[in-house]
Amino acid sequence: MYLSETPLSLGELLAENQYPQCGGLAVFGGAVRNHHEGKPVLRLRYTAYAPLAQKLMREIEQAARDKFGAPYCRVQHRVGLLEIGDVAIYCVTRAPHRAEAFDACRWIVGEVKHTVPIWKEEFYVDGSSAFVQGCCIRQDAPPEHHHHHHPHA
Amino acid sequence: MNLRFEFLGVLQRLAGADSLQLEVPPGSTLADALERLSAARPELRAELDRCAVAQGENLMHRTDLLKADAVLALLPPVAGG
Repeated sequence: MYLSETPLSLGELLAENQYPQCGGLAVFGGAVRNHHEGKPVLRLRYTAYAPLAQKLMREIEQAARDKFGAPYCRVQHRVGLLEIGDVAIYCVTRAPHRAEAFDACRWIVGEVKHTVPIWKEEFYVDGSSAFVQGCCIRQDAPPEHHHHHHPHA
Repeated sequence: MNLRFEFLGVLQRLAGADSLQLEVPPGSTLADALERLSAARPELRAELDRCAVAQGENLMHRTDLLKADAVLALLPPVAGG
């Protein structure tokens, strides 16, 4: 399961006692922040195009296993209405050593943010709302179309 | 032939709908169909250039030929995480 309408469960992603060869366990959770570019945020709504999102998340996990030698890589994303502090994304990686676990975890989260068809609509204190500017995933787009305005960190 | 566009993300808000049926001539490419969509719904034109288009779980190219009754998901720039 890659997309969930209900709160994510970190425990189910940890795969405890299944990778005795892995000494490194990295966990990243992304939670809903109460501000964006100086505007107070009340809540968010995430939507996704599930057929492609799920396929890409599966491929990203597999690519990370191959690229970093991290035998266990899992990522899940929430969809629906989320309140401040709710976890929107969890990524868990296990690798023989910490460096590969950290690297795989960071890479997966970046790939999900930049390539998976998920959208974030922010609801503000003043009653307005807006979709957050994102990354163009059109494969045959002219290079300038990939430009976007959010931090990559 | 008939197509159905599905609107995702900000496109739903701009279009005020989840989807739209559109008639295009046989032999149309995806680029042709998007041009027709722009003409029919000019409020979408600025976004369409930056949209990826998917059929099922596959991304398409603008040069792809369309089949009758295709369902085309329009995917604006993404912002998960």
